[in-house]
Amino acid sequence: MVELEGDRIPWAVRARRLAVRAALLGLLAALVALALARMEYRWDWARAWSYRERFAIGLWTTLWLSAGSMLVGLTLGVGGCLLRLSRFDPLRFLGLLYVELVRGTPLLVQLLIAYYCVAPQIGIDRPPLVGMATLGLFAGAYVTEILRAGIESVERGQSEAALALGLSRWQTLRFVIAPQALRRVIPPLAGQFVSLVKDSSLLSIIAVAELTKVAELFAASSLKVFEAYLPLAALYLAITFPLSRLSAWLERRGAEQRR
Amino acid sequence: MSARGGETAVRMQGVWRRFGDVVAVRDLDLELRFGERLVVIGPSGSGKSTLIRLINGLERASAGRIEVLGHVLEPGRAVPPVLRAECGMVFQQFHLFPHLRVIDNVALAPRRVRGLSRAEARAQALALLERVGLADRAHAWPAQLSGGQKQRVAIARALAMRPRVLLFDEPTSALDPEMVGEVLDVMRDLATGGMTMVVVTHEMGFARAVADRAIFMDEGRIVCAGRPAELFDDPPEPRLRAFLARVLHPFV
Repeated sequence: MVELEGDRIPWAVRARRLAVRAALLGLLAALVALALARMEYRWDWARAWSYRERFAIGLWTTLWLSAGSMLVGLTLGVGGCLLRLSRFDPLRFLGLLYVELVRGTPLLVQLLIAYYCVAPQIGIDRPPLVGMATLGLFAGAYVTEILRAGIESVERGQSEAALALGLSRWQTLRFVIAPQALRRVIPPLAGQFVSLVKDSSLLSIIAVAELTKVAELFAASSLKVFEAYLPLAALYLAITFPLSRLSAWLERRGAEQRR
Repeated sequence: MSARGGETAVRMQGVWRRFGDVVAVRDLDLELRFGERLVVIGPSGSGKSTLIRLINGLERASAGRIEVLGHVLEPGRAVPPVLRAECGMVFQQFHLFPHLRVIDNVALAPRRVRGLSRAEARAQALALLERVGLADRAHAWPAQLSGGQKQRVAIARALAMRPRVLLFDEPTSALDPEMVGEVLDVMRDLATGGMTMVVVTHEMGFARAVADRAIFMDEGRIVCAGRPAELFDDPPEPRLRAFLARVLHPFV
């Protein structure tokens, strides 16, 4: 076996790895190109290009809807986490109910209920608002569990040491537990945000003009389905790939600090 | 009758602690005077740790009466925060706060509980670190310290609240042998300074040199008590004799 120190991979090994990866990519691209060439399909990228502004607006809508939903989700997640960790059982039960109800039903179903059942009853007819609220509620349940797991991952001795010094339960959480938990939850939270960006595509079914909806409209009017949906996937990747790299980097940095 | 008055720091009467079916401490009576140095010895699982954790309310009694520094700890009632502030504790595994520098480990509680300013708390912390010989490591992170240094910081952190009683839960058991001495030296200084101490330990030499009284526990009870020298030289009880033989001559 070759013994390697995590970050000190020899140049030659690195180069060989890179070459193999490039070759694999080339092979896959060739296969796809072959399949496409055998297809009976008239490409019309010019038509898609003429739609670029609407794609850009859809992309922008997806981005701010995701960011807004994440903010709602973080707020609800902090609240949910405090409920889950409460000393008062009815509050703990409420927290559990929130998490189980939201995580146990499909986001699509939640959107249908929110848009067709709840929103009309309370007189809201702005799809983006309904979408952001529902997506935020959905993300909040997952954020609740991420934060709770983060807090519970801090060893019991830490809170015992803080309590033994005379800190209150709240001070213990605020000054000792939360700062340590925060470092550990940043990577999973970044991962949750990546999921949220992808899940926001479901908002297209409640008539929010986000990225997926724009692509659908273009496909329906032009029948150019490849030119509509391939760029769609590429645009989502363009958002999520940097985010997941960032998350991996944060995770690595966190592991180094914990030594 | 003020909370500060009286000669008795800790008084336990008929105290029980059960964990499910397991009885950790059974029908225990104990009195500790101010200025007294008490050492608690006994085999693992004998209830020593539970005993000292009952004193600052980290464990709660299932039955019985505990009075600490004039505060009565009643089963099912919250522990008065004042009590924890006045009753310091040093743990076997140190439990320093890894996200705070050494100086802020010591300054945290005085700032947040006593309301000292950041500057005041840090000045006091530095003086205490000086006292345990670690002023030069004030700005290090806990992860950069040796075990012995960590435990000395933990002692400084407990002292920062100016406790009237200090509890030590096997403070040297997690240390490499060559670091035991530096921690015991600090504890000996504290004892000389008149600190009221309860120390759970296997360090018989320390017990003999520093403690006024030793109690030997087994199966949740205090089996015998007395001056350490008398107790160790002429064990009045077969279980203590067997325990001492194991601790002093582990390879025989």
